[in-house]
Amino acid sequence: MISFSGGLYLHIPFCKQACHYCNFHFATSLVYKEKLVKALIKEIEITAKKFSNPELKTIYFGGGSPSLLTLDELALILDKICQQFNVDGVEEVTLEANPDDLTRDYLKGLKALGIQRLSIGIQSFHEEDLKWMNRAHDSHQAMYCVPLAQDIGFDALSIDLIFGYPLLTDEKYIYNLNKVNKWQVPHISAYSLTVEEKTPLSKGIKKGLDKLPDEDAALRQFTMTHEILEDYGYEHYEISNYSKPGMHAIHNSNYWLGVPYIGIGPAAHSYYSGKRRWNIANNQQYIRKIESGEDPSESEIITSQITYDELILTRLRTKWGVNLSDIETIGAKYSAHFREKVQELIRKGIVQKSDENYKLTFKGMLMADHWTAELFY
Amino acid sequence: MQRYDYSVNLWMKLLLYFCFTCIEIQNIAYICAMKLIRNFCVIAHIDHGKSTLSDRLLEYTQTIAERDMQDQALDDMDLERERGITIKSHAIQMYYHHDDGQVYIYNMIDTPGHVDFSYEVSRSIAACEGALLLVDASQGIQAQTISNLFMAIDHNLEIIPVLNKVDMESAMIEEVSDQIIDLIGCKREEILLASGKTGIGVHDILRAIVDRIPAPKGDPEAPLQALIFDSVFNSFRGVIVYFRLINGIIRKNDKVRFFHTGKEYLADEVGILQLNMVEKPELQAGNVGYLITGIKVSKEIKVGDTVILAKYPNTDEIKGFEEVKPMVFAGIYPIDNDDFEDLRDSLEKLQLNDASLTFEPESSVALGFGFRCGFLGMLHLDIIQERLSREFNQDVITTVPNVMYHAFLNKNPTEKIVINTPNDLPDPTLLHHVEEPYIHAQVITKPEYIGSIMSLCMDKRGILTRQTYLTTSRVELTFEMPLAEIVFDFYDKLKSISRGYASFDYQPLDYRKSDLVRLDIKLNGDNVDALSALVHRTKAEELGRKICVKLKDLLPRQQFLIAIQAAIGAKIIARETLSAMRKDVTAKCYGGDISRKRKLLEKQKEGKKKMRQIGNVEVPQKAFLEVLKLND
Ligand SMILES: Nc1nc2c(ncn2[C@@H]2O[C@H](COP(=O)(O)OP(=O)(O)OP(=O)(O)O)[C@@H](O)[C@H]2O)c(=O)[nH]1
Ligand code: SF4
Ligand SMILES: [Mg+2]
Repeated sequence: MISFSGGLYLHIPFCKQACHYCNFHFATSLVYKEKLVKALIKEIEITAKKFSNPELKTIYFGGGSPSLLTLDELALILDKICQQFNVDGVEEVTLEANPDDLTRDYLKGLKALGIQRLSIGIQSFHEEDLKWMNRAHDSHQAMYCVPLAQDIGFDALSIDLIFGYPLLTDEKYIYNLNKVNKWQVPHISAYSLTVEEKTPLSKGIKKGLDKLPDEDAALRQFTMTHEILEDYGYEHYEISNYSKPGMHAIHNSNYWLGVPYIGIGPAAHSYYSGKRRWNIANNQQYIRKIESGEDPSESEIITSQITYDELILTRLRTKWGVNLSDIETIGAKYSAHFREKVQELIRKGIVQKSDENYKLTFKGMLMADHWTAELFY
Repeated sequence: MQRYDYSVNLWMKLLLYFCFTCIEIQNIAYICAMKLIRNFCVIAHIDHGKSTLSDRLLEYTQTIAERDMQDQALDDMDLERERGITIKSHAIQMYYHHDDGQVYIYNMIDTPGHVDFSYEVSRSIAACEGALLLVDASQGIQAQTISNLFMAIDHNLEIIPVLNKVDMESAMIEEVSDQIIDLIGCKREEILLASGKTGIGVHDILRAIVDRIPAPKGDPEAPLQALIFDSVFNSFRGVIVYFRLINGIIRKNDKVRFFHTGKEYLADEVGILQLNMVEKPELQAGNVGYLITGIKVSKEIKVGDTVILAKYPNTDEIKGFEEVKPMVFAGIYPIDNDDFEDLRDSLEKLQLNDASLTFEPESSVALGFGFRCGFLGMLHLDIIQERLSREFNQDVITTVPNVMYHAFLNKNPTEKIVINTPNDLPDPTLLHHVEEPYIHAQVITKPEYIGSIMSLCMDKRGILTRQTYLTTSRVELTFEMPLAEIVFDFYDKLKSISRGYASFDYQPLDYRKSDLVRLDIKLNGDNVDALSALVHRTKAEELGRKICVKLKDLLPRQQFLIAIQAAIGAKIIARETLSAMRKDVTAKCYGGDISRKRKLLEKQKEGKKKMRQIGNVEVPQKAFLEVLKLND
């Protein structure tokens, strides 16, 4: 049997209400929550049994809104994980949480369950922004959840912010950045608002009810984030992620570093044994499949070309960059291709090279996807 | 010679039929006297039911087994079946058991009805002594009914008028019969009533073929003369030639010679055309069949040529049919420049099967190396493009089509220069004048549409020369108009303003002086030669504007602003501006995003590969393909 050593991602597909920009998989009704938790637990067991002595390095509860799980439900899941996996080497246990769920008791409970790190979806501290986004929390909850969590002993906090939406002036955004810095949270994720298909936001734009994000403002605010946070001692270690030295998100970074991961739950993705898999993005069908012992996933084999393309896609956006030797292991034709194509990007100031390591310059980061495609095989 | 006794009793006949079909047929074909052969084609306006009626004839004569029968069985190209139209003529042999006890050989050719394929009809006519002229009883006489009829009469074919689709509720039997009588001057009793749908009249038609169409005349003892009326390329067998034997006999292993090329070959195989090819040891004067000589190079065969025996090199050719003249020209380019030679090869093979296609190499700054091709019309162009893609796996880019112009220079105003590509048009300062081709156009319609059809034709620079009432409810309008005007959107417009109640036919007329200009399209100031068009000055602005608007839609936004301009010489006559690309700041990328994002970027990259660089602007292939669809 094959071994496994890597991350475990659990997708909790429920939210109180739908944020207008969001295209994650979730349901706003909790009727299936109990059944779903049972299914998750079963999938954990089924998946773990595929490997001999699988060991975990990171555990990540994402969603959706994992903070909608009761402490009991979380305990059941964690118990199952500990029973099925070797967790001696776990370096990070993260739970995504929304400010409105973070009561003192809940936080205490999380701590007691062994959750070490919270990633809090604050997005903005301004009431009108949160309303526009249709977030479930208000500015008051945004302001108080962090000090509260710190009070209970959560030092390893990450805060999500969004920029580039029509309501956000530069002044308001600077306020948000300063606020986060004041609490000295060790990790910040700052996302440029993207208009995803089939979201209420994109529908609103099509109907003329909402404006498209202003691309110049987005570029400016991306630059501001970079400048201000670096000033405050954060390291810009990936396009949307900043951390105090040594405090980068281990689980997420492993996605970029090509470490395998198992995804549990509807719409969860996995990467192991040379394949990427994704579970069906439908709660009811997911539950039915798991209950009847059917495989809820589809998969794709990672060819050498995909390996190369994905290496470029994931590595180039990080401070670790991509090593020519890593490309060479995939195949000589890929390193030849890369070497040829990257010259032009270096000349344009998009990619910087030190020894045989390549990464995006700040200018390159602005439109990383565009440049990534240029380097694809 | 072997003789076959037809007077055996019925059960013997049946037994023989079922057990020895092959032997029987082979013998009949082999020894058949010419008087037992009938060669005819089925002609009509488009959609009047030629292929469907042919099905019934094939069924009745048991040429196609019931289990193999499908609608329009002779339309064997996928493209024909999908579009429900015949593109190629199809020859097939059948056997008709006449009441007189004789078995006749029928060589039937089903022909296409669309005006663009009239060359197919003309070649079929050259191989026949008679024609079934079908008229849809609900539609009456239409433009191609008349033009195909005249073609058949010119070749002295015996015409059997057939009023088809009489099963339809809307059939106007009396009225349309009157039209037919008027048109060909036949007697009412001579018109056969039929339905390809229900099979009414099939027996009468089969009989009439024996009774009315003359047997072929020819001398089996004379040296071989066979007219090549079609050919196909088969990747295993090479070129397969379809011929009509006029005189003599052709045998397997004969040494034959093609009159025009003077080349000699061994007849590897001869035979007759049934649903499949059926090999025969020999074929006699009067018959229709195929010949395989192992020729692999399409250039060595010319449709219209005569096959003779090598040992009689002085045998005369048969005057076949006129060489076809293309009406419309367009550049055809491989999407990938490396495919140029493959494209040439494909075009050569296609030409074998479609003698009306012409091509010669040309090159374009925007598109690289390609071919300037001549077509009979826009449908023909469309079909060639489709066939290249389906049969040869060659996806191509086509440039703006144009007709053939004549230019005359100041330095020698009597010397004609042929222009069939925009780049050949001399500089206006050197030009004395230009002439463009005019056509004689006939439109047959109902009186209530006269007004709108006249204004359409006027808008197309047409001049009404005649208006004739064929009956009280059918009128024929005759125009003289520039061929260029019908190339683009004439058919569609005609169809829509007449709600389908107008049919159209045309013949080349002459060349007349024209105020022709070359319309250029520029992207950020750089000429896109593949989009240049030759157009009458009065139409230039409208066309220029349409192309600019369409291009704006088709071009992806780029890092910078793009000016899309239409120009005549230095003068800009239309302009659109495409703003720069959105500079989306890079989005997040976690475990669940990797596959999706990779695929998205791969697609972007693929799209980019298919771009052509014009100056600093990247133009997708699609733009060249779509920009010409100006109607939607
Ligand atoms: N009701 C009725 N419909 C018919 C009859 N014959 C043909 N059709 C229909 O008319 C349409 C055209 O028939 P085709 O046999 O393809 O006509 P065609 O003359 O071969 O057409 P082209 O080869 O494209 O010129 C088809 O939809 C047939 O089903 C008939 O006798 N009665
Ligand atoms: S809480 Fe998160 S997952 Fe749920 S709708 Fe909002 S953004 Fe999407
Ligand atoms: Mg047909």
